[in-house]
Amino acid sequence: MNLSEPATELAKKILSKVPWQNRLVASITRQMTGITMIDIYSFEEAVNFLRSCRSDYSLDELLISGSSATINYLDLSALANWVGDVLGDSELSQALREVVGGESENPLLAFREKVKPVLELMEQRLEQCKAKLPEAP
Amino acid sequence: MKGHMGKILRVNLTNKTVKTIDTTQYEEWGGGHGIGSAIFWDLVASQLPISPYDPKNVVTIMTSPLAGTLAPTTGRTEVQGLGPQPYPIEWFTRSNFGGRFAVMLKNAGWDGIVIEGKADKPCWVNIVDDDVDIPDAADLWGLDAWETQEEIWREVSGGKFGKWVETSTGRYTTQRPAVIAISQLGEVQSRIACLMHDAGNGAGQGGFGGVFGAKNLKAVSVIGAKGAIEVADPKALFETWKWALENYRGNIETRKPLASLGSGELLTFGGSPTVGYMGLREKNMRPSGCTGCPKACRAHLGSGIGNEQQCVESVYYGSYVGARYGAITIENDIAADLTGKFAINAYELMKIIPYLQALNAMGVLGKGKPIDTDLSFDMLGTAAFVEELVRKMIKGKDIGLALREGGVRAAKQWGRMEADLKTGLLPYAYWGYPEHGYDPRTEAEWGYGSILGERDINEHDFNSFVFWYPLSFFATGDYPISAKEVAQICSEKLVPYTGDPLMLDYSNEGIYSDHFVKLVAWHRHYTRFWKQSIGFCDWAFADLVNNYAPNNRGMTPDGEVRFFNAVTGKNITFAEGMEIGRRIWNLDNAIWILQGRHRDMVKYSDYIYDVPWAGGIGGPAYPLPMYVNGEWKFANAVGRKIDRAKFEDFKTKFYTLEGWNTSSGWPTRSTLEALNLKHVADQLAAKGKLG
Amino acid sequence: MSEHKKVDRRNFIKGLGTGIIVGAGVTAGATMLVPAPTQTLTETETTSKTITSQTTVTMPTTTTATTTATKTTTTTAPLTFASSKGYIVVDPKKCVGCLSCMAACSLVHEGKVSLSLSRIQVLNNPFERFPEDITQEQCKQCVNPPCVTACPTGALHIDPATGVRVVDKEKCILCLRCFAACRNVPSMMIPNAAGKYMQKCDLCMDTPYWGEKGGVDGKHACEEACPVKAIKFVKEVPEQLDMSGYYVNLRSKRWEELGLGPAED
Repeated sequence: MNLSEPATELAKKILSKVPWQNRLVASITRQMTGITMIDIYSFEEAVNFLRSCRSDYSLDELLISGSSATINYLDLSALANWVGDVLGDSELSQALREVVGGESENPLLAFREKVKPVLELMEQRLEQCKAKLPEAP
Repeated sequence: MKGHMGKILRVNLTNKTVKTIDTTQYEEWGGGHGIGSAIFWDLVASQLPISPYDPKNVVTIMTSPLAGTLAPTTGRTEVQGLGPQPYPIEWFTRSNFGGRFAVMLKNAGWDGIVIEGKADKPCWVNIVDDDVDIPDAADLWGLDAWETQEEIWREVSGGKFGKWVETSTGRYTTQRPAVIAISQLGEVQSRIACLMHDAGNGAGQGGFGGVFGAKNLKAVSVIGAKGAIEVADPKALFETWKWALENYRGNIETRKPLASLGSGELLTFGGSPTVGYMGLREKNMRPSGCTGCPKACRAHLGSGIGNEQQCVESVYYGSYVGARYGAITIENDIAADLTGKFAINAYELMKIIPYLQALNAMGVLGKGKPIDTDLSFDMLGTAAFVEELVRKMIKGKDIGLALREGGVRAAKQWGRMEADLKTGLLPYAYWGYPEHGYDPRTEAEWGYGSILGERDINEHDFNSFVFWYPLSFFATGDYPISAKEVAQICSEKLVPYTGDPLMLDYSNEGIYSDHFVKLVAWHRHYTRFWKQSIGFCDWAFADLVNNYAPNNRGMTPDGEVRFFNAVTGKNITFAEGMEIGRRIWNLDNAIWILQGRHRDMVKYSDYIYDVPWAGGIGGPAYPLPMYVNGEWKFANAVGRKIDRAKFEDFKTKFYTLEGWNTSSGWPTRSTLEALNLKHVADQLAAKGKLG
Repeated sequence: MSEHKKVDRRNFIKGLGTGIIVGAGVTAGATMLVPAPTQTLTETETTSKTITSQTTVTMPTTTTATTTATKTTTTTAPLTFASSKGYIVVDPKKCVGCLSCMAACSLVHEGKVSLSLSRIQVLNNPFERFPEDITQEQCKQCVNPPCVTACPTGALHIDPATGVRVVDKEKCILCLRCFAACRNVPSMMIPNAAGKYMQKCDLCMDTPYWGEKGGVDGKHACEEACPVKAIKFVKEVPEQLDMSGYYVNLRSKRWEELGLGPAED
C-alpha cells in the first residue's frame, strides 16, 4: 500500500524521541538467557528492531548457530495504536491495524506472520519522513 | 584414593602459611560443594554471623573426584564462602567455573584449596605440584584479570609455550598455569566482582572477587605435572565415555535428532558445540571446550574477540548493540570481553544498564539530574559505554561508587529500592540478585529454588524442556514432542520421586501443589550432589529429555552413576547420591540459619506478587507444560503473578517434605540426626535455632 | 627394575652432574640434566623472575655433557628403517581443546589420568586467535626416527611386526637423548618420572587398561575419545616434508553448516 506524504509537523513528530512513559516495549529472546525487554523510544528505533527480527526460521534453525536465530517480539497491535495515539500518524496506524488483525492465542506465531508487511509500511513512512527532514538526527 | 588426590591445600593468608587437609576426612561429602560446605562449617560456623569481608571468612575452591578423568563435563571448580552480593543477608553462597583450573589442580596433586585470613599486603598463591608459595603481588595489583594471568604465566613458566617445562618437583608438562584472578574491581572489594580464569571462565555470582580483594589476594595459580588421578575401573570408564557419546550425542556432523526441539536441545548432553557462544559468529572460528568436556559450548574466534564468552556475557548487551546498529556487531563481543577482562558480574550489567537507561529516560539520572552522572548515554550500544561504566565503578567515581555494590544496593543508596522492587523497574527478584530471565511468576521451579536457597540458582535442569523447547514450538508452530511426553519422561527419571508426572504441571494450581514441592526438592538435592559436588556441568546435566537419545530419554539417572562408580569404585546408587545431596542441602540451610535465616524472610521482591508477568506490551509467550482439565499441553503463563498466601502454603509444604519446622523453616533434630548431622543439631540448639 | 640398570643409571648421572629424577625439591637455578642441544634449547629465554621462590617452574637449560658411557650398552643405529604401518593424523583447526585425547591416552596406558603422561599433547591458549589458539601434537612415527637413532641402549627401537617406534622400558636409562632428538615441538618423548623411563605413542599396542585391541590393526584411544573426530588413524605414510601430511582437514561441509568453523582450510 502507498502511504500519502506526511506533513512536516507529523514527520518531525515521527522522527523525535518519545518520553519514557510513552515508550514501546519489545523483547528479544536468546538461548539460555531468557527474555530481554527492549525499550523503544522512537519510530526509527522501532523500525530498527523490526529489521533485526528474522521471522522465517524453522525449528531446526533455532538449533543452529546461535545469534541469528532469536525469537523477537513486539506487540504489533500495540505498535499500531502507538503510531496513532502517541505519534499522531492515523493513516499509518489504520494501515497497520488492517495488516495486524485481531488477537491470537499464540502471539509469537502471529508476530512472525505479520512482521514483514508491517515493516514494509513502517520503512515506507520512515523514508518519507527522512526525505522531508533530511537534517533531522 | 580413587578420583580424589588425597589432599586439600589450606592457605592462611594472615600468617602466610600452608597446611594440608586430608581429603579422606571429608570424603563422605562427595567432593566440590559438599566438601566445601563441610569445611566451612568446621572452620567458620561457630563464629557466624560475620561479614564476608572479615578475614575469618573462608573461601573454598573445590574440584570433584571425577575432574580430570574421562567423565565428561566434570572438570569444574566450585567456589564457596560468605558472599557480599546477596541482600539483605550476605549469605554463605556458591559459584562455579569451568576451563582448565580443576584439572590442573588435580594434576598438581590437590583436591581443592581453602583460603582463610587476610594478607597484610597484596599477594598471590603459586602452586607448583606440592610446592606452594605466597609471593608478593605488587607487580600484579592494578592489572585487569587477563593481564594478571598472562603476567603470572610469564613469571611461573617463562616465555613461550609449546615446549616441555620442568617443574621444581622434577616433572614435566607442556601446559601453562591455570590461574584464577581478580581485576581492579575485586581490588576495590566490589560486591559484583568475580573471579576469572582464562578468558571467560568466571565464578561470576556471589561477589567472590570482592572477597579476594578484601583478603589482599590477587590470584591463585596452579601448574601440575606430578599428580595422576587413580581410576577404579579404567576400562569401564572408557566404555562409559563411548556409551555416552554414541547414545546421547552421536557424531555431530552426521547425526539427525529424533525430533527437532529448537534451541532448547542445546542444554542437554546432546547439544551442539558453540551453543553458548551468542555473539558475532565468524567464518573462522572453532568450538572451545573446558577440559574434559565433549560439548564445547564456547568458541575461539579468528578475531580473538569473544573467546570463551558465552551465554549472558555474549548477550547482556546485544539488544543495545542491535538497537544502535540495526544488527549485532563486534561491539557485542568487545562488550562480552569486558566482563572477562574486568571480571565483573554480567548478570548485574544485564540489569543495571536498562535500569540506568530507564532512570535517564525518566529524567531522574543524568547530567545535572538528581542522580548526577556524566555517563554518555548517547554512546549506549557501543562497547565503550560499558567500559566507561565499569571504569567509574573501579575508580569509585560518579554513579560507579554506588553501582559497584550491585543494582539493589545502588537503588537503596538512591532512595529508590523499595519503590522500584515494587514495580519491577528494578527486576531483582530474590536475595538482591538480578532476575535471570526465567521469571519466578512463570517458571516456578527456578524462582522457588532461588528463594528457598540463597541466590539465582542458575540450574537449567528443567529449563531446557519446560521453557526453551515449548518457546521454539510456539515460535514456529511445530510441536515434535508433547507436554505429556515431557512429563512422562521426568516421571521415570526423577529418582527418588518417580511415578508422578504431575511434578511437571506448571499450571496456576500445579505450581503450588504437593507434586511441585517434590520437583523443587529433587532439584535442590540433585544439584547439590551430582552437579555441585561431583562436577557434572549444568549445560549438559541433568540429561532428562534429550532428542538425540533413544526415545528422547537422556542418560540421567544412569549416566552419572556409571561415571561416578567407574572412577571411584564406590558403587553407589543414584538415590544414594541424592541422599548425600539432601544432607548437603541441610548443612547449607544450617549455615544460613546461623546467619539469621527464618521462613519469614523467604520472600520474593514485591513485583513478583503484584505485577503480572507481561513480557512486552501484550507480552510474548512463556509457554510451560500444564495439566489442565485432564489434558497436558504447553500453555502460555503470561499474566501470572505469585499468590502470597499460596506461596506461604507452598513453603510450608516444602519444609514439611524436608523435615523442617514449618513455623521457622529450621531443620529439626530428628531430621538432622537421621542425616548424621548431630553436631549440626547441637550447634543450632546452642544458638536457640533448632527447628 | 634390575640392579644392573640401577647401577648403570647412577653412574651415568654421576658423570654428568646433577640428576633430574633423584627426588623432588630441586632448587631453582640449578642446572638440569639435558642432552645435546636441539631446537627446544636454542632460545635463550630468561627463567622466572622469582628466583628466590622454590616453586618456580624452570625451563630446561643447556649444559655441556660429557659422557662416561662405558658401562652402558650401545647399539649401532641402522641407516634406514622400516616404516610404521600406521600413523595418527590430526586436524588442529577442528580440535576443541577439551584434552579428552590426553586423558584417554593416559588412562589406557597407565590406568590413571595425568596430562603429563599423555603421549599426545594439546595446548590451548584462550587469549589467542583461531587458528593459533590450539595446537595438537602427536608422535609422527617418523620414517627417519631421530629418537631411535639417538638412543644409546636400543630401548627406542622399531617393532619388527608393525614398524611402530616403541620404547623398551627395561632398557631405558632416562638419558633424555631421545627427548632432545625428537624434532617435534614439543618433544613427543614423554618422561615418566615415577616409572623412570621414557614413553611415547605406540599406537596403543600396549594398553593394559583398555578393553579394546590397539595397534596398527586395532583402535586408538585418542581417536576413539575425541568428541569431534579431530584425530584419525591412517595407514598411508603422511608427507614427511615439513610434516605437513600429519595435519589434515577432517571437517565436513556439515561442520560449516552448523556454524562451527570453516569446512575448507
